[in-house]
Amino acid sequence: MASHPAPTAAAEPDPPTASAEDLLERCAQGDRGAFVDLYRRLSPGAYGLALRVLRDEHLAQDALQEAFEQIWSQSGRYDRSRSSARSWILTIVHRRAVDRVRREQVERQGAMAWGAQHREAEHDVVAEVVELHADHRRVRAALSALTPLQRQALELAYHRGLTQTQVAAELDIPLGTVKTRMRDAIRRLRGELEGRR
Amino acid sequence: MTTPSGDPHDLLAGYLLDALDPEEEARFVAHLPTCAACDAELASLGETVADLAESYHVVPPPTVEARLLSTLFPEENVDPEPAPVTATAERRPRRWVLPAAAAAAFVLGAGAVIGVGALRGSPTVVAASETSDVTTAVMSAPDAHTMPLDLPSGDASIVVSGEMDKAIVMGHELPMPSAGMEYHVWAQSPDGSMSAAGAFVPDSTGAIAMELHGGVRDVASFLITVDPTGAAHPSGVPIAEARL
Repeated sequence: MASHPAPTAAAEPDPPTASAEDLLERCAQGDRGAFVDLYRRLSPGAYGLALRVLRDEHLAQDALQEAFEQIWSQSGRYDRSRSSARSWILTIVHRRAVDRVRREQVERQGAMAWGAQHREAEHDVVAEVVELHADHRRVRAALSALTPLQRQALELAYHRGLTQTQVAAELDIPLGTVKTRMRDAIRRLRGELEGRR
Repeated sequence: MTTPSGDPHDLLAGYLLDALDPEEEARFVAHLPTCAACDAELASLGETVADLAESYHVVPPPTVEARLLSTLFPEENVDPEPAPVTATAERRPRRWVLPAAAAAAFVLGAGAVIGVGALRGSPTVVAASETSDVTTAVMSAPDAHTMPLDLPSGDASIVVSGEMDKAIVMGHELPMPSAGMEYHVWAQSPDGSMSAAGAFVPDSTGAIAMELHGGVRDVASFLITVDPTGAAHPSGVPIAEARL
């Protein structure tokens, strides 16, 4: 757990070119302005991810907040030689969202049931629409190169928050098949994405 | 069935996707420092997973930032442009905010934005799991043939198995149609006559996986329209077509 030194009196404005890695490392030194910048830069992707997994805006907002609290407190653990700041942060966000889905599954015995209950109270809220992330089309094109079964494995595991054991039960296929399918899916996605950069 | 034990190398994808049980995860984490191959693979595939994670952007309401900062830094306001903390009207001026119905209409027309109006007021999830027996069977059929639909926004395909005489429609990130409207799939026979093969509203993430009615033997093409719920005939211009 990182302990933050006392904040500097006046945070300097960030140069627009500061990378997310720079910002995250400055968080580890207690730079709150860098944290705000980092949040604003990466929260649309993080919130989109939490929404996809949790499918409920209140749960997704809670997960987003908890994740960024954790990101601030653990920023000292970040090592830019190991991963990009984006990857490190989205991993934390995804984990928070998935943990929440699994708690809800246990408490309410089934994601479908809670999804239905949660949605009823959500009329007349303003819809927020964002322009597609520049990478979105690239990712979509890459996903479309996967087989339907590979896409399904990624969808159930990554976006629905099922464990591979649950995926195997859901699809009534052996666990070993699920493992292979997920591994092939993610490797193929990597190849497709690299080919489209 | 596979036992819970097994080769720890096989757990890498599940670890990346947060899809391991606690026992499996402990086993993989213990394995990782001893295996340079897994370590390198993890670093490489981590960026792929980040791309997958970040493919869907939604700007969170400013109240989240305000709550986050007041929780972390209760003694000061570090925000150079303080976000309003009151609950109601502050999110309106943002340029990407549209009323849900207008957003959906815009989405279907423009194809450059995604609507999250899908999150409320929509019929409940019609997710893969409800229909997974048939959809999985068709997808796994030896003669399964996938025909991508060229929709203005979102990804969808029709998968056909001639041997099973079945077709399914599956998709993700489909925009939510306006209130009272649904996606309709029409089967067109070689003589040009049309019959309804199914109608759907995607779930809140824009996903759909559904069996189509009526078999495929006498179908020349499937057409997709956005028409009122319960429509018996297509009235709108087809937004996509899949020829068999």
